[in-house]
Amino acid sequence: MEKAVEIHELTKIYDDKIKALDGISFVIPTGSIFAILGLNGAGKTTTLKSILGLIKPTSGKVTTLGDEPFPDGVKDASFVPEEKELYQWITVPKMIDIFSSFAPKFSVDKFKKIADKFELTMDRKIGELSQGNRTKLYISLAFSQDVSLYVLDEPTWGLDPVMRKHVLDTIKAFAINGKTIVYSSHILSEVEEVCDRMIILKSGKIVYDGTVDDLKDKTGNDLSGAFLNLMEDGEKK
Amino acid sequence: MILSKKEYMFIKTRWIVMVIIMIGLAIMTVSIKDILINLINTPAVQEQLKNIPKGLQSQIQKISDFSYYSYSQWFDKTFIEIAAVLAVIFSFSAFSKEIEDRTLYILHGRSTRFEMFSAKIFWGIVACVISILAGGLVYLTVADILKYNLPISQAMIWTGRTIFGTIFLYSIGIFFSLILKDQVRAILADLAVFVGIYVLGIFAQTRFLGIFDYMGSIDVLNGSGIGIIQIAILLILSCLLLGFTYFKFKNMDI
Repeated sequence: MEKAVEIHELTKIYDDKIKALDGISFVIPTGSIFAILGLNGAGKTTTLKSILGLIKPTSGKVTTLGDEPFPDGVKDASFVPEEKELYQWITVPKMIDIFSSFAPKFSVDKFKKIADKFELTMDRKIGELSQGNRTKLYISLAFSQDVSLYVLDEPTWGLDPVMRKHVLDTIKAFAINGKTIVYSSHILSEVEEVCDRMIILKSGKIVYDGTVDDLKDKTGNDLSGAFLNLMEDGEKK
Repeated sequence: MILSKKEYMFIKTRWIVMVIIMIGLAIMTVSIKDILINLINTPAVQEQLKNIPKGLQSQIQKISDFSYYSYSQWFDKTFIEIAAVLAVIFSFSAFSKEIEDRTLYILHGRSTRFEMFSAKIFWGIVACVISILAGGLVYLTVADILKYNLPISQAMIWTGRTIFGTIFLYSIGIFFSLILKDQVRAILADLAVFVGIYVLGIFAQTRFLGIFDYMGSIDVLNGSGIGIIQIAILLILSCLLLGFTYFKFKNMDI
């Protein structure tokens, strides 16, 4: 199995007191759609940021696409953060122009196709867009980069069902083309629909690492029921 | 430079406004020279001047000399005040705004931390230097057009000193912009430190720390040069401060 991401004994402590991750280890296979689940504050975003080199591990090792990602990040990756903030005072076309000047492997043609599909409002300043449209713009920019790894933190949050389906279809298409997708979401039905493997985090520790089907088989529940059980007992399965 | 276009676009409007202000004030300061002198020479003002201390009287009388006028009304006054404002305006938001708005995610990974840092610093310093050069050169040009006698060397020494002093002030601004992660606090910290530097220049024991004194020094009227040692010290301090700020940026969580 080729590894897109390998995390070994990763611990992250913020400000010498808040332990966000507690010695977690897992592997994300290349070409998979990998979900990171957990309650609020479980360490999902910290894990995603560690994969991208946005934060410095307190201890342990992160290898993303063969390199340590901290401090310079991963050039062959595209990130959609939880807070999908862009430069509010510029117009959408100017944002595309600026983004294309520094984002590697960005295709304006690809952006136009995705933006058409997402029915994106183009002729406004970003600050005048609704939250949903800002999310669509951020995702369109990130998806228009032809990279090996897409890291998505709550990508469909605030989108209507039609747009949500477009995003999930695009994610599936990426995986078919050999791209790796790391995905965090609270919407378990989405995870069930698209993900190959997943980890479930609780208080900075992994309580499940495996496939969605294995979890369902082991617990005799649907994903939602199995997830709730894990959150209640916290035992690693 | 990978982020050059983005940083240039973000600084452009502020830069144009500051250059216009600098040029406008330079033209105004030269242009009102005769009006000011005529005002001082009116009998009523001359009568009033008799009541002020002798030292101040002689300074006011010297204003009719254009070099002294340039020193007292422009290069040691408005010029360095605007230079300090430039340092604040081009630095305070460089990192703090991106941190507050959570827009660093857009850049990270798509460019290295060094590329992010250097693009910001490059355009900030270029904007400071060109704005100051505009102020110095426009002042000199307008003075020449109006047939005032100001030695080019004097104007260029003051301009050069102000450039290096402003780069140092800008480095302080960049440091606060990153460390404080908040635009308002960054501006307040800049102002507090700049006022502190100004106050240090007042007292004899700490005058050597008064960068504003160096930038607009009266010594230039007496044939003093640009001050290679002072420039070297300012450049070293600026590099150390920017280097430390980069070290903090390289190791910080985004």
